Amino acid sequence: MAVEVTDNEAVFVARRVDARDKATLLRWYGDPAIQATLEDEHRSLAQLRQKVEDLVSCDPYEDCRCVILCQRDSRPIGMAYFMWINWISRTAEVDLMLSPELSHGPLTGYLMMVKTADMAFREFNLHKMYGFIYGDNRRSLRLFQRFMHVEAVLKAYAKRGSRYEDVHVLGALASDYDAFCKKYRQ
Amino acid sequence: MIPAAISTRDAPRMLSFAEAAGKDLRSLFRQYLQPSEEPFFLDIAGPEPRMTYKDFAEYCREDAATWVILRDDQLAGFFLLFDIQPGLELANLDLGSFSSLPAPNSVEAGEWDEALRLASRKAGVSRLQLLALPSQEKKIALCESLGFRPEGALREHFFHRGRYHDMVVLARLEPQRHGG
Repeated sequence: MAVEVTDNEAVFVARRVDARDKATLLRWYGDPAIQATLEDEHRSLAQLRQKVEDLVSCDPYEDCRCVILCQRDSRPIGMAYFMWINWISRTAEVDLMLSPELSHGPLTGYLMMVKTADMAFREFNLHKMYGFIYGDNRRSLRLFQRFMHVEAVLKAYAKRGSRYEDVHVLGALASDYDAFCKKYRQ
Repeated sequence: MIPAAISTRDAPRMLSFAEAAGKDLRSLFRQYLQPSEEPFFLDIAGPEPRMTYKDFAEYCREDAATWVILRDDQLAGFFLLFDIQPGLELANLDLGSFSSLPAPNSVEAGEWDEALRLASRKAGVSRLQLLALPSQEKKIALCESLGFRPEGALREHFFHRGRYHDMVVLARLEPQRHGG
């Protein structure tokens, strides 16, 4: 399972993660900025190792979860984590992570999002993908809003020190992606 | 010490709320098996394939705090707190009644409110969130009278009886979460 996209200069590939990617994922998840953004609670190194083992071995049909690694010219640039894949409603929650080891322009996030949507709607044949974004994560909100609609704002959802932060629920339907592709082709 | 159950003896018919025991789960499971226009459980992750009794009991006991509502000692409804997240002090709520839901702002709705507060305290949560189909107008009206506020609608999110349904998101926050 791999989806390949090219621009004029580089080749972008999305594929399932495997054992070769453990060290990369551990570095990414161990990054303090990533932990603060993605995790509700602090995780120790042992917990992170366990998480990475779990991510590498999870299966979209057995566990209803799947991790996709995106590479640019064979270099990992980010990952998409499909969770709670529901094969009845054909929905899935998705988390995106851009490599904290690289500096990214807006194009990288954009391509990651396109490839994630492509995987969701063209490979998994999902009806909808959705994501939860903390209100203070402005960059991710901007990125997700290019492809997804804000469908709900969960008030005071996450604890941030002594205060609470809202969480935005964003969703994209397969029909939204079809419309996006049509517009892009035009 | 928080009591495990409360009852209201002043009501015209005796209503009580209790954490579900084994026999309650079997009664609940029989209700779960009844064909219905509305799904028994609503979860953002989507519908589950039909559960066996073993899976049902495990879900109600281990993945959720399940409460039954008894009227004259007969099972009248249920509510459950599931996906309880202690770190975030929040939980999802689902509820159902096997006759009709209490009218908003009624005495019985007040009793539901008291029971929900008790269950929330026991679970250590200060945010309860609930999903409803837009067609579940009575459920939404009851919850709004219990202090739940709409937070949005998830488009075409739940597949039930051959078609997609939107899901309305509602939540009730304890005072300490306001102004966050």
